[in-house]
Amino acid sequence: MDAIADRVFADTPGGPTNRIADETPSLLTVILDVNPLEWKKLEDAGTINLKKLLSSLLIMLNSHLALNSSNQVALYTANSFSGGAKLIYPKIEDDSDTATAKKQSNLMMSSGMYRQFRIIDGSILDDLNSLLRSIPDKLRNLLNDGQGTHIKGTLSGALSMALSYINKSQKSIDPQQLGLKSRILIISISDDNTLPYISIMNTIFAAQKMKISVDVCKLGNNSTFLQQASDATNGVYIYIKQPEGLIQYLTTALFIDPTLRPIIVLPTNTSIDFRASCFITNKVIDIGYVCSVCLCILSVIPQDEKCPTCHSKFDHNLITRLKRKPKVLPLVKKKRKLEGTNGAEVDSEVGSNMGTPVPN
Amino acid sequence: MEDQSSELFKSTINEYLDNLPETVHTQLYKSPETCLAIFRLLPSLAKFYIMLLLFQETSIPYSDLNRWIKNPNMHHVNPNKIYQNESIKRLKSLNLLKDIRKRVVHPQTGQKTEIPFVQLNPIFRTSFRNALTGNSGKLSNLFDDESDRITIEFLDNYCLNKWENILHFMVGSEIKQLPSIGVLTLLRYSGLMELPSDHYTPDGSKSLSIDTLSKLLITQNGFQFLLQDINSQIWTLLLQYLKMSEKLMMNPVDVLNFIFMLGSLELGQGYPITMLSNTQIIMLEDLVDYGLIYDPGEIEGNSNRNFYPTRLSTTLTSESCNFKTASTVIDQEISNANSEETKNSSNQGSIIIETNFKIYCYTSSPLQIAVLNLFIHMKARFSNMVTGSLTRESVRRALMNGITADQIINYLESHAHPGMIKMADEKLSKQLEYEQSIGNLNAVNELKLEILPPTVIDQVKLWQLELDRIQTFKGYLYKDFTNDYEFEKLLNYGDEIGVITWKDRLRRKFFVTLEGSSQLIDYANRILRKGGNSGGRSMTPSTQTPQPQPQPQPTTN
Repeated sequence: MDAIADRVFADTPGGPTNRIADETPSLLTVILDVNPLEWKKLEDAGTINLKKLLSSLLIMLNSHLALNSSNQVALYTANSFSGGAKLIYPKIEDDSDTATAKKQSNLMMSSGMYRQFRIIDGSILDDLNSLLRSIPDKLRNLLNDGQGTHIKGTLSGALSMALSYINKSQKSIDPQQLGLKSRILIISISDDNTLPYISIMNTIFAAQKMKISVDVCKLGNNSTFLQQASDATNGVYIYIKQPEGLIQYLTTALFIDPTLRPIIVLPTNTSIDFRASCFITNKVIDIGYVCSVCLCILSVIPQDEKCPTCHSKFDHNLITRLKRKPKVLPLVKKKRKLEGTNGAEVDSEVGSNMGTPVPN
Repeated sequence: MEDQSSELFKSTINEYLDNLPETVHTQLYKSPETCLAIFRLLPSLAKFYIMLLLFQETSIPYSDLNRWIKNPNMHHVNPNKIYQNESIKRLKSLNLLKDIRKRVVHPQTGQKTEIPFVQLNPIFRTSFRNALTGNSGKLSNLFDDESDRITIEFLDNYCLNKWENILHFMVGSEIKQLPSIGVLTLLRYSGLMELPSDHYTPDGSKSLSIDTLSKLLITQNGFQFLLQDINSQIWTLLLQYLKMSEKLMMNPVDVLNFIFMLGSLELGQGYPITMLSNTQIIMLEDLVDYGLIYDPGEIEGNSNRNFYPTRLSTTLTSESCNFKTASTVIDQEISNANSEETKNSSNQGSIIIETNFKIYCYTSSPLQIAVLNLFIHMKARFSNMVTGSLTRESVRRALMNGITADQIINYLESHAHPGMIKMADEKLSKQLEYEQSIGNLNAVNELKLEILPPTVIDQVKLWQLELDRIQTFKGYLYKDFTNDYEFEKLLNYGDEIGVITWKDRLRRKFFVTLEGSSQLIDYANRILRKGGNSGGRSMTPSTQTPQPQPQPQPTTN
């Protein structure tokens, strides 16, 4: 009996699972960093501008839609000037009047395009256009106020919005979205010190729990946090120094569908900088203090001797002991004898004494 | 017969495309819409490879394709590799990938070696790039912004009426109007339906009058056809149409381009007929019959006629279309009319099946009930629901009609109520979490989404196995005994040495295994000579007309 049963019930290896993989719809959520100051820097460096990036990005979105007709895209912008993170596509009120959307898009796009692409691309370009038009005024106001020098990016806000959007789509009972696989692509240009560490880490953990990979396309300077983000979520981190061939990156290395991930070797770097950043100065540090209550990381001891995150009061005695200048051992005599090697030794000892808390 | 029926449904559009000659492929790839449609039909990995090559101006080494593939276990056969080979084979059979051998000088040793390179079909590359970037100006002349657009609801109703009418005709329920002669001819040609006389003269190409064709009866293939989802039903018919059109000397490039173009048209938008070639205008009339296109006909005072693609055609190139069966949309219409609340819950599967084989289906469509009735023992019908159960008899009836267990399971799976899918999903993720927590990675790979209760699936498969219990033996059939004495004597001896596999005392026949036959002949010669009656006739296989043919031994219970 078993012999007969085996013949029928045994599945051909690889067959059924791959068939499912071919049909699962997937959602691509793109988070685009539109910080105007950073874009200005990039453009001045002569590497890439927003317009070039957008044309590549739109082709990528089109390609994603071309993969499967039930595939979806969503686009968020992370921006500090115009209300922070913003949903660009899909528009919430868009469902009812696709006709008007199409008419607008006809102005922007060449009409010889596949219908779905035309509607989406047109709507994205319209929205970004209106967003960018409003930026100069706001920027001027901010600069006049005298606080335009350092503005925190709203990447974490956009990330959490994207995660909630994915969650909503995955929970939906629409049979078309059943088994919807999702991933997030961050196109980031800002430096690490503009990223709020805690909220970014929290969103990463959320993505990890939801099994959503976060791919990162980094322009400008290399980022340690985003490396950690993609590593923790089994995503791809790519730092692009020469963005001329951006479309090739976007359509290959950053184009691996979640259903293909078990099969394909991810083109990401394996040596990741796992250093954390100081909660006060936002700088990446090697050695620092850790609050024993909330594990918040500090590079300097705050003036009020309170943890900036959980506000627990640190022990004053301990703090004074920590702050005490390390006693330099009288090594003068030795130093004379063995000058070359000992000099280095003293330096290293001083350095480590500064950083390490003295055990109680 | 069995081979034929399975072939009918396996011969998907993919196989048809694969077998086209290269010149036809080249012609096809000139149209961006066709490229997009063909791209969607490829396996995921093949799509990835195309994206990899799409924006490369030059060819890349073949080994670059291999480098993307993971090899999870070094010593075993790599399933990923099999998948990769399949994908590349598909790409090559579609003439999308081309092998080039290039002479390359090794950078260190300076040796000249030949390395295989791959290149994307240049025509496909140009067209597909145009499709993605919107560079092609081809569709631009299609739009005429007429204000009297036909509403989408009208088109939905129109196409579903047409399509359901065809299906109703197939299941033999009462219909007001017969499908057109073109549809009936195609149904007969495709072997989904047949005339009683077709058993004797199976010639599907001969044209017959509508009166004769209205007497068509459903075949085994037809039963299987009914269990497909609407998209594959349409594709099945379209493929048959393609095959038929080849016989009618229509240009396959024109026909395919038209079908793929339909997939990229916009629902509710009119398109002028003047853009079509002559072949396509002939096709248009046939497609109107299937409900793929609405043609309002010649409008007075308006020389350029428009045609309207329906939802059936705009979802042709999508895998999961907007409605699984025509009946669900009818349900939607009814529920919309009744109340707005139910609007959200429409447009989805409706079958709940329990571990005790009871089935509940939320439907009021006579068609879906008729389809369910093919393999379910119906118990009761309510205003919006039918109940029934899968029984051995009902499933056997379906199996006898040529429906396979897999088809029943697939139908139930694809029409499962979202609640069932949700439950299965939750169960799967719980199991996954558990297996991962104990580190049982082999089990993780084997876990699958079980929408239907496994007991039901196994039982349906077992019921099919019951019918497949044919065992064959090679041996000899002994018959034409002159008297009872000879027969009984040989039969008893055969029984004693255990070589008889089958016997019929009434007709004096029995069947002996291959090995036992010589023993029995020796015995027969011995006793017949010893008895000496009827002049010592010797028993040899030739005189006893043994038939060395496998004798089917059906086991019934």
